[in-house]
Amino acid sequence: MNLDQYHFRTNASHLDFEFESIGPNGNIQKVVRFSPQNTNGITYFNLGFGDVNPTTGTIDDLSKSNNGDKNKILATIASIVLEFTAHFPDVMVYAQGSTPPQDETLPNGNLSKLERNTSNNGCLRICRRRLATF
Amino acid sequence: MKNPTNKKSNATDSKADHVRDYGNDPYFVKKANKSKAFLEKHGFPKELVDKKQFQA
Repeated sequence: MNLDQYHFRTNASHLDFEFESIGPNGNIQKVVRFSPQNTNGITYFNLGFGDVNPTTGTIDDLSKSNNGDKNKILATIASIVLEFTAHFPDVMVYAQGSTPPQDETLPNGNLSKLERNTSNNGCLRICRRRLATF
Repeated sequence: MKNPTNKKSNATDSKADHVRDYGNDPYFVKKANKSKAFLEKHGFPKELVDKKQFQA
């Protein structure tokens, strides 16, 4: 993808990814976790995303960091999904926003771009408003 | 000889193994369970199920 994005890092499992949002409110550590799940005999990976609270170390996805870099963050998450699916071909990834604005952002924003980026191998389908599988 | 660089690359650092394992983190466990509940209630999209059956 040609969008500006953050450098991200992962571990040996390739299920956990971290990057830092940098903006007027400081550096905010972001985490993406792909959790394996099985529903109705179909295995998929749930995409979880959140901010690391620097004080408590806990994760929160409802906070608004207001670092002015929403698109850069979405582009980074999209790239992480591409990295993940490159490492684990033929897997499905499920993503759902925690709030209605996030739900709106996913299919209308970078995931649509991601769909175009991955349409050659058909691994992505935007299936319905609240459901995106890769 | 030029050393090509790509500023737009994903720039992953796969060798960096210091990223924490969040597999047992209550936040992500809760999120995964929530997605499972949603999919059990609403099901997978028909086109996806058809595709999986075709691949099987």
